[in-house]
Amino acid sequence: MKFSGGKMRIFKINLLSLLVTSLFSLSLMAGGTLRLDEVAIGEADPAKATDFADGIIMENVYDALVTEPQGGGPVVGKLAKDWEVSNDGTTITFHLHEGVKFHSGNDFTADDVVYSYERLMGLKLGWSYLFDGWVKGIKKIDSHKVQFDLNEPYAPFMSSLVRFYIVDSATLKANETDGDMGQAYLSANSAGTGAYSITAHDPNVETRMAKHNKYFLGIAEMAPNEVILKYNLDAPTVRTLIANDEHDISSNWLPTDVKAAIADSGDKLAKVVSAGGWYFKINTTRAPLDDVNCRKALAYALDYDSLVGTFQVTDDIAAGQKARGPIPQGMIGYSEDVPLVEYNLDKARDYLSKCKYSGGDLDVTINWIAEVPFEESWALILQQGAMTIGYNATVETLPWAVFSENVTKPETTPNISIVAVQAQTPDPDGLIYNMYHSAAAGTWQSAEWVQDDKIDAMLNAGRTTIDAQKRVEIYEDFQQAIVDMQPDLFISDLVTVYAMRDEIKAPTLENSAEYGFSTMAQNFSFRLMEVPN
Amino acid sequence: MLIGVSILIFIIARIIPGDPARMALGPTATQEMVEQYRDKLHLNDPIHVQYWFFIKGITQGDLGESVYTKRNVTTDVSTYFPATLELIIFAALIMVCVGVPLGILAGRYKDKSIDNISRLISLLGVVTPSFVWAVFLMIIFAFYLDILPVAGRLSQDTVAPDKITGLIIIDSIIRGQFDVTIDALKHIILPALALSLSALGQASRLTRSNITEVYDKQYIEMARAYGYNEFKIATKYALKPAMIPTLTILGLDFAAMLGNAFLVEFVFAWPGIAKYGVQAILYKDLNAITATTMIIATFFVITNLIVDLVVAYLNPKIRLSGK
Amino acid sequence: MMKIFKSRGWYKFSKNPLSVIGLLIVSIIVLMSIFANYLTPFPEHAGPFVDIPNKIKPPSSTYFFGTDKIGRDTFSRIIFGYRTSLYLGVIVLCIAVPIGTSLGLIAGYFGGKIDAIIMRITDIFLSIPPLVLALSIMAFLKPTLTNAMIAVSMMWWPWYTRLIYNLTRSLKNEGFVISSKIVGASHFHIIFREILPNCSASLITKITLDMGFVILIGSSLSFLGLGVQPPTPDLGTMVSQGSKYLPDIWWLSVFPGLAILVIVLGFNLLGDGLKDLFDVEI
Repeated sequence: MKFSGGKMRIFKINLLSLLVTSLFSLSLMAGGTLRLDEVAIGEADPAKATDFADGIIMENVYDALVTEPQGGGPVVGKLAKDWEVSNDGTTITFHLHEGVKFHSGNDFTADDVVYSYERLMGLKLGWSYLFDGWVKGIKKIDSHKVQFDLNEPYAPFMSSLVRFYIVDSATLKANETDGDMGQAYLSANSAGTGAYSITAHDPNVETRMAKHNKYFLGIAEMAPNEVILKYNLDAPTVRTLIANDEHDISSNWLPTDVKAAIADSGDKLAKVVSAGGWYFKINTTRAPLDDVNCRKALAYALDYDSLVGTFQVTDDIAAGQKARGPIPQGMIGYSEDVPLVEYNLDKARDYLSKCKYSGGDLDVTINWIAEVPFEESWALILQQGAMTIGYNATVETLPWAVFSENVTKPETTPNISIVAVQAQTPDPDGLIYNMYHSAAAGTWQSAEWVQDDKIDAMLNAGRTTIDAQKRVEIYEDFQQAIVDMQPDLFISDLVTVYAMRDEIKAPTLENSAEYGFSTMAQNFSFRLMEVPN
Repeated sequence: MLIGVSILIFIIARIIPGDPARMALGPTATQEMVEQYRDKLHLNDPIHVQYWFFIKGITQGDLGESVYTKRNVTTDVSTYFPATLELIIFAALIMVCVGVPLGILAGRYKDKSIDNISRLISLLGVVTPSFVWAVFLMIIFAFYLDILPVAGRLSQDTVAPDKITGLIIIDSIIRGQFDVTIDALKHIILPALALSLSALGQASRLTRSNITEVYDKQYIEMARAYGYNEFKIATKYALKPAMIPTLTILGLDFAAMLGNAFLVEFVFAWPGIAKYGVQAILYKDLNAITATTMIIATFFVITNLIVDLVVAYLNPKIRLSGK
Repeated sequence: MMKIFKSRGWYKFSKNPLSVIGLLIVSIIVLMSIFANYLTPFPEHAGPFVDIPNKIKPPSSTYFFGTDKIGRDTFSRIIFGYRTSLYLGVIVLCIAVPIGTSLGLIAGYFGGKIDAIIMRITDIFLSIPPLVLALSIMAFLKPTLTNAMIAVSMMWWPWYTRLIYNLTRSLKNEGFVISSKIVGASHFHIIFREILPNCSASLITKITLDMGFVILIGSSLSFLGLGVQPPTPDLGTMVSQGSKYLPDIWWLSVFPGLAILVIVLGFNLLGDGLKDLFDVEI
C-alpha cells in the first residue's frame, strides 16, 4: 500500500486557495514569487561566502569576471569581454564589458574590480585563499581594462576567478562604518551587478531578492519577480508547503523517500550532477588500514548494489552514480579506462589474505556524520560487508564539530569516515588538491592522510602546467594512481536531486546536463526560471 | 547568581572541542587566516582575559561577533528574542486559560469521572514530548485540513509592522494593521499550542492538587453550611488560596518553556532565539552560546521575581511580614 | 506475594483504576524489554542489519509497525528501544538521586555556610533550563548513551537536592530528631538513620514520576541527534529520524512516538498512585 498524495489532495479542504483566487484576479505578464530552501546559514557578503546557500545568493546577486560555460569546459567571460595571457602565463589582462550597471545604478568599471580584489584580500575570509600566494598584484590599465600579475604560472587561476565576485566600490565606500569595508552594509544589502538584488537578509531565517531590471545579460520574461530563499526548513514542513503550493524548490537534503512522495503526488524532481563525490575516507596511517591490501579488501567487500538502492528516488531518478575514482564524470581527468570496482567477496578475501594484518588486528571503526542521517545506511552496508570477510567493524556517529576537530591529527582521525566533497572551482585542482596533497593534510577533506611524494608531484605539475592537453594527461594518470592506492572507497559522484512544484519551469535544474556542473550553484540562476504568477 | 551562570556557561562553551575560528572560516582557510581570526575573537588570550573582554562588552551593550551569522550577537538577539517571547507568552496564555480551569474542575469533582477524564487529558499533555505534538499538529492542521500555515511568523506577502516591541501581534494592534494581527495569530497558534500542551498538563495537575487541598479545609464546609452557592464558594474562597502555590510553579513553567521552545521552533521554522541557540552550539559560536544562555537565565530570574511580587500581593501573610 | 494484594495499602492503591493501569503498563514494558530477544519477530534488526529491498514497507502481518529506511522492523526496534530507555532512566536516577539527596540532606541539616553554598550552586543549575544545560554538555562530549546519561544526570540532581532540603529542614525540628540529638547520636546516624528513612516515601514517589520524565528528556536529546548511538534502537532517535518522512511514511514516527507516550504515561500513573498511597507532597 503506497500513499498517493494525489488522492490526498482531493480530500483536502482547501479554504485558503478559494479565498486567494477570489481576491486576486489573474495577473499580467510577469513572474511570481519563487520560494526555495537551503541549509543555514546564508552569507550575503561576497568576501565571506563559501557554502552552497551562499553560492546560490552569489550566482544571482553578483557576477564574476568569468564563468563556467554551458556544457562544461574552460571558463568563458562574464563581466570580462575577453582577456590576454602573456607568454610566460603570469600576466593576464582583462577587457571589461561596458554599460554594465550595479544595483545602485552606478557604472561598472576597472576601479570596482581592483576594489573588490583588495577587499577580498583585506578581509582574508571566504574564497581569498584561492588567490593567496599566487597573485602578486592587480592594477587598473584604463577604465575598462585591468591586469593581474601572478608570482608564477598557476593553471587553476582562471577557474578560481569564478569565485571572485565584483562589488560596487562607490556604494561600499559611501556606506563604510569604522573602516569595515562595507561589511555591516553588505550583511543586509547587496552591491552587485547580478540579476537580483537583496531586499532583506537574515542569515538564519531567509534572504529576499528582487529583480534587477537593468541586468546586462537580460532576464526571462516569466522569471520570478521576487525570490525568497529560506533556511533550515524541516522535511515535513517542506513536504506540506509544496503540497499546499506555498513552496517551489526543495533543498537536496530532503530524505530520498520524501522526494519520492512529492513526485508521487504530482510534483516533479530535478537531478543535477555536481563536481564532487561521496567518499569513504580511509585513514592510511593507522593500522590495519595502512596496508593497501587491507583497503582493497574493503573495496571489494562493499555491496555497491545496496548502496545504489539507497540512492534510488524513483524508478528513473537516482541521487547518485557509481564513481570510478576521485574525479567525477565530466571533469578533466575522468577516464572510462579506469574500471568500476565490483562487489566480489572472493576477491575481497584474496586481498585480505595478502594483508599483513589478520584476526584480532582487523578492528576498524566506521564513522558517519550525525548531521547527515542517510550516511548511517552506507556505514551499515560497509559494516555488513567488512564483517563478512573477517573484519571486526563498529559503526559510530560523530557530530560535525567533533569530527572536524578529530581529523586535524592522524592518530585521532577515524579509520573510515563518510564525507561528501564538492569542488571549489570547476577545475579538478579545486577538488583533489585539498584532498590528497600533503600540504593540505589535516582537514575533513583530507582525512586520508595521503603523504606521497609522487602524488604531490602530480598535483604540483597540474597547477603549473599551462598546456591544456598535458594537464588532461596529468590528471588521468593521477586518477589511476589514486585508484591503485585506494585511500578511499568511492561511493558515488555527487548527484543532487531537488523536488519542485510542477508549475515551476527551471531548465537549468531540469536539463542540468546541458548547463554543466553546479559548482557555483549556476543551476540556480533565477533569471532563467519561469514562475507563474 | 547571574554572574555564576555566566561563568559556568563561559567555561562550558570554551571547553567544547572544535576551533570556532576554523569552523567559521571553512576547511580550506589557511592557518594564517585562522590565526588572524582567533586574534580578532581574543581566543588566544587566557580564559580570564577572555571573560574580562566579555563582561566589558556586556556593559557597553556589545555581546561580540557571532562566528555563525558573522553579525553582532546583539543584533541577532534583538531580532530573534521577540519572536520567542511572543511565542511563549501566547503559549502561556493557552496554558493558563485551559490548564487552570481544567484543574479546577478536576479538583472540585475529585475521583468523579470528570476528574479522571481531565487527569487523562493533562497526563497526555505531560507525557507527550513537545516535538511529537508539533509534528502531529502540523500534519493534521496544515497538511490534511490545510487551514493553518506551517512556517514562519507571517505569510510571505504580509509586511511586518514597523518595530515597536518586536512582538508582531502587539505592534500590529498598536499600528492599527489588524489584517497583520490576524495573519500573525494564524501563524502562532500551532507552535504555541504544541509548546503549551505539556505545560498545560502540568498546570492542570497542579491546580487540581491545590484545589483538592483547599476543598478539604474546614472553612469551605462552613461556607457550605451558610448556604453559599457552589460558584461563589469556588471563586471566592477556594480559588485564591489555591492559586498562590500554583502561581509559583506556573512561573517556573513559563520560564521552562523558553528551554523547550527550540524543539517547536525547529519544526515550525519559527525565527526565535532557541533555534538560534542550538545552531550556535552546533557551530561552537562562543559569543552566541553565552549570550543566549544568559538571556534565558535572566528571563528565568525576572519571571521568578515577578511571580514572587504577585504572590506577595495576593497573600497578605507574606505582604505584612515584609518579605 | 499474595499478602501484598490483601494488604491495606494495595486496597487503597487499587481503588483508583488509573494507578492499576499504570502498574500494568510499567510491568508489561519492563518484562517485554527484558525478554526482547524472545518476544520480537526480528531481534537481529536491533543490531547492524541492512535489507535495502525491504526498506520503507508499511505495516503488515510480517512487519507489524512497518520497516525503516534500511529495511529494519520498527516493532522489534521499539521493544529494544524500551530497553535503552529504561536503562537510561535507571542509570540516570542511580547517579542523580544519591548526589542530589546527600547534598540536600547536608545542606538542610547543617544549615549555615554549607547550606548557602550548596543551595546557591543548586539554584544556578536550576536556572539554566534542563535541555539547554544538557545540550551544552553534550556539545563537548561524544553523543553516546553513556554521555547522554551523564548529561541528564548533571541536570537532574538539583531537583532532589531541593526536595530533600525542604524535607530535612522541617524534619530537623521534629521531636524524634531532637531527642536523638540529646542522647548524643552522631550526625551520620541522625542524617541517614533518622531523617533519610522519613524522606523515603517522597523519594520513591518522585523517582517513579521522574523515571518517565528522564525518558522524555533522553528522547528529546536523541531527537536532536545527541543521544544514543545508532544502530542501537532508541525511541527519541526513531521519532526524530522518522518525523522527516511525515506525513506519507507515518509509521516511522507515529509508533515510536506512541511508545514514548505509553511508557511515560505508565510511570506517571504509577507515581500518582504512590503519591496518593503515601500521601506525600512532591
